[in-house]
Formats: sequence, structure tokens, C-alpha cells
Amino acid sequence: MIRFPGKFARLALGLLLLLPASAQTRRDPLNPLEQDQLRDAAQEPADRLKLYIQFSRARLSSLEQMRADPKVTDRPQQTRDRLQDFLDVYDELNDNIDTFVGRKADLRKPLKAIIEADTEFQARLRALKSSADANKDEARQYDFLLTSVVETVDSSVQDHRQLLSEQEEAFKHKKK
Amino acid sequence: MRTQLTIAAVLLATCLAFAGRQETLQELMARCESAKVEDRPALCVEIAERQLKSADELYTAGKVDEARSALKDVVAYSEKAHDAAIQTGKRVKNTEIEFRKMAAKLRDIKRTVNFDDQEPLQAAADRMESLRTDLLTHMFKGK
Repeated sequence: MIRFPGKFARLALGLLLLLPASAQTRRDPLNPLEQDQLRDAAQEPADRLKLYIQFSRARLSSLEQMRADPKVTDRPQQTRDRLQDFLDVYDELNDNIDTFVGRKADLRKPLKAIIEADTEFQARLRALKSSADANKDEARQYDFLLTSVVETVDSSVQDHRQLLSEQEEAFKHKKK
Repeated sequence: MRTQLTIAAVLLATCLAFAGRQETLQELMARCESAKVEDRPALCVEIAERQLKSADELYTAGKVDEARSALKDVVAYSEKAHDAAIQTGKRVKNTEIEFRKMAAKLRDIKRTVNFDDQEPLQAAADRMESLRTDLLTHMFKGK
């Protein structure tokens, strides 16, 4: 077996620990229970998308609770992690919408719920942005990610509205 | 005169048909290989996205070997997109966003397949995250 000198091994371990969490294996943003729920709703667009709204909302609530907790010590890192979790789940929500559109599913009802949730998420994210702007030192660690999240939700809400109007038009003609 | 008009109409119809149809994957791949380096990130990302969609459909159809082959293209073309974006400094942010979305899609597919098929999907998602992190680092370096 090849043996590395102790100094080299310590250096390698140090470098490994310095790697950002995102560069290593990223854990699944959904827990096993949530994964099971999604699996059960695989064939039901409305149920599946409703679950994604619920999971996204839960990620934002968890973020807000953490930030309101005075005992939390590594607030910037935790803010970053929870924002990334929200974004991962929200990306999956959008990905699922695309999949169901490809299958020509009727998404009018779930889209209305999604647009409502988008508006809610926008307000909650803007509140977080204001609080981050008030504490620039702390926000430096997650400011870029927060901006990405805000931009993603802002552009998605437009896409969702556009898709809803397209679907309303398409299904109106189908009825006739 | 009538013959000339007919030929013109046929040519026009052919041109319109070509303009309206989507390039095949092979055509897109060939275009990507000969494209200018600054055009490559967008083309490579499009190929990766198409192959990711194919992989999803192939896993659903139980064609695991073909799905794995499509998955290899997803990673290979994402790496090409990454390299071209870094080299030119063009479309770095867009490429990073597309990688993030593809990683999300890979995680979603992973949950739908058998345990034995999960490992390559996880590996691909991890590679996407790693390429993404690299692009983010590059963006910050420029600031």
C-alpha cells in the first residue's frame, strides 16, 4: 500500500474540507417521505405540483425560522444552504411543469395555485433581501444566490402566467 | 412559365419545411463541432438538454443501456459547454443556470428508477454541480 507522508495527508484533508459543499456530492433536497409522496403522485399533475408548492413553501419557512432564532451561530452559511434547498425544489417544480406540458396535461388549476404561491414567494424573498441589504457583511456569503433565487422566481411567474393563458386558450377550443 | 412557377413553389415549400423543422441531434452535434467557440456553450447546452430528455424517456421505457448512453452525452456536452464558456467568458451565467436545472432534472429522474440505475444519475448530477460551482467561481473571479 502506498503511504503518504503525514504532512501531505494533512494538507490533502485540509484542501478537501475547504472544498465548497456544493462541489462535493450534493444531498437530495427532498427527504425520503417527500420523495415517497411524489412517487405516489407521479401520474397526477395537480397533486404532484401541489406537493412541490408545499415543499418549496416549507423550505422558505424553515429559512425564516432559522433566521429568527437568536441561538443560530452560522446564520450566513445556513441561509445559503436553505436558499439552495428552496431553489432546488423550485427548479424541480418548473421541470415537472415542463414535463406535464409535454404530455399535454391540463394544468389550469395547478397553475393558478402556483402563480399564487409565486406571488407569496416573491414577497417573502423580497423581505429577506431587505434584511440582507441591512446587513451587508453577513449577506456577502449568500447575496449572489439570493439574487439568483429572486430572478428565478420573477421570471418563472411570468412563464407560469403565460402558460396559463396559453392553456386557457387551448382548452377553450378543445371544449367546443 | 407554368413549369418555372411549379419549380419555384416546390423550392419555396422545401425551404419552408426545412426552416420549420427541428434540427436532428446529429445535425446539431455536427454544427456544434464546427461552430465558433463563443457559439458553443448554447449549442452544447441544447444537445445536453435534448439528451437529458431522451434519457428520461428511455429510462421510462426500460431501455436502460440506451438511457445510460444518452446520460454520457449529457455530461460530455455539459463539459464542452463549460469549457467554451470559461474560454470565452460568454454565456457563463446562462450556462450555470441551465446546469442547475439539469441537475434538478437528474435528481428527479433518479428517484423514479431502480436502485441499481441510481448511481450513474447521481454521478451525473454531481458532475453538473461541480461544473456549476466552477462557473460560479469563474464569475466571482471576474468581479
